[in-house]
Amino acid sequence: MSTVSIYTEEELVLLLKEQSRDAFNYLYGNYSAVLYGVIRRTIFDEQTAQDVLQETFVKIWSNIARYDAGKGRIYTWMINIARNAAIDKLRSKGEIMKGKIQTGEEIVINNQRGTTAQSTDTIGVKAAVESLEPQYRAIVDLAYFKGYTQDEIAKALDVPLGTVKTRMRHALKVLREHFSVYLILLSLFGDW
Amino acid sequence: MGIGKWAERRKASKEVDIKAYIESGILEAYVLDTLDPTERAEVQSYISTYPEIAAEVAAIEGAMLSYAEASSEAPPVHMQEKIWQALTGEAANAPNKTIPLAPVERRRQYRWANAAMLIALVGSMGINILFWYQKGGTETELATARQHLEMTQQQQAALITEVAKYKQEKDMMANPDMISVPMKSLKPGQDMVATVYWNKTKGEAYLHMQKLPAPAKGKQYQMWVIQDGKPVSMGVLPVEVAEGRMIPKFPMEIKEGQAFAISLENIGGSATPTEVYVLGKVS
Repeated sequence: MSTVSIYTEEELVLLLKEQSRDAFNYLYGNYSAVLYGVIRRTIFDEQTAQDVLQETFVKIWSNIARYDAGKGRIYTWMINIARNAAIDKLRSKGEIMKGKIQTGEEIVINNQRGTTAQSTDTIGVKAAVESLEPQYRAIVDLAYFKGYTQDEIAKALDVPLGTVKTRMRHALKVLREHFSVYLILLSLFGDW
Repeated sequence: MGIGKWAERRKASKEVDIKAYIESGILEAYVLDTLDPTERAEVQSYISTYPEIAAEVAAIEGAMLSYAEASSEAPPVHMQEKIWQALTGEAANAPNKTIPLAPVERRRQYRWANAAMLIALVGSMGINILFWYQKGGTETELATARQHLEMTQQQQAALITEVAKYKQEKDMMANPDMISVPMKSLKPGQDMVATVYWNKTKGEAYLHMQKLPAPAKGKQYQMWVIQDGKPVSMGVLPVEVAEGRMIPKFPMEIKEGQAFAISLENIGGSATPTEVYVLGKVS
């Protein structure tokens, strides 16, 4: 996995606060693929996705002083910045959101993406994601990548709200089980 | 004694509550960011109070991080330099440094200085009042002007996208390496059109959905390439594409294929096409 860092999260925060070229290169080298991947899951258009990636880095760079380690991992913090920037862009692109809420005709679940993916696309992670059946994946993707509320998901998929909640919990359970197995394997066999 | 027992019971019920809280699925919804602000605040306060809940949230976040990693995709090479430029440009435009106030010099005060200060104070108050009166009007004007500007910008952005789309299509049609594969309706009486622009040598495929009905609730379109007589999925299509608002490039390389097709599927897509809407053979 290329995202395994030489620096710990605390060290990374300190490094970023330096605002040096080295700090940027490290950040970019280790996190750009994950951040861009997240953005691309939200935004289909490559050019727009690239703009959002730039916006994401600017936000990380200028808000690093405000990052509060007590509130969670910096990795989660950065991914959330990318996700929010992408979802904001999606919403600002006019009628996309409205259209989809009324007619429920949206999602990209690109099962085949990955030809350009970096080496983080390891067999373990992929297998874990693929272990999730489409109806569960759709819920996770709509919430995580498209910024839907549970209500909106229920409307979009035309299922009761209760079903959305139970499926969401089940989906995360499956993912957690698979990823914990994957992490154990990773710790046994080291960096793939 | 009685109080001790009560406290114990309370403690026990608290533990049960935490378990029920974890089981309720609200933490998953929290990590997926689908809660309303009140619920969010509640979860956040529980996280800082109960370590069990904090641990559970961390575990869910961990799973989602790996899930996000699974879709990693390297951005184009030129982006690294471009972003660095943006960051350093940003730093140059950073908000002005606050100018430290000069230390106040304490001197004996003369009468003329007091008088001058009084005059200055009265003068500045007068100017403040004048500005304050003017400000009201200016603010409304500013708000209207902003609204107009925003509207114009939105219209302009929409127009730019539209023009870019036409230009892209024109360029693709002019490119001798690009084959266009029109896909026609397989449903009698229903007029539907979509076109694949395909650069076979480079393996690049673009899709323009000119005319297809909006999918019904719970349905979405899926793209297929027919290779050696078998349909191979090229992924499901988001609404921006289905409405023909853009001509996106597919993320995978397509170097083989005898035909392209679009089918209507349940949300999430299918392993094999269920109901094919349009089909076009590569000539």
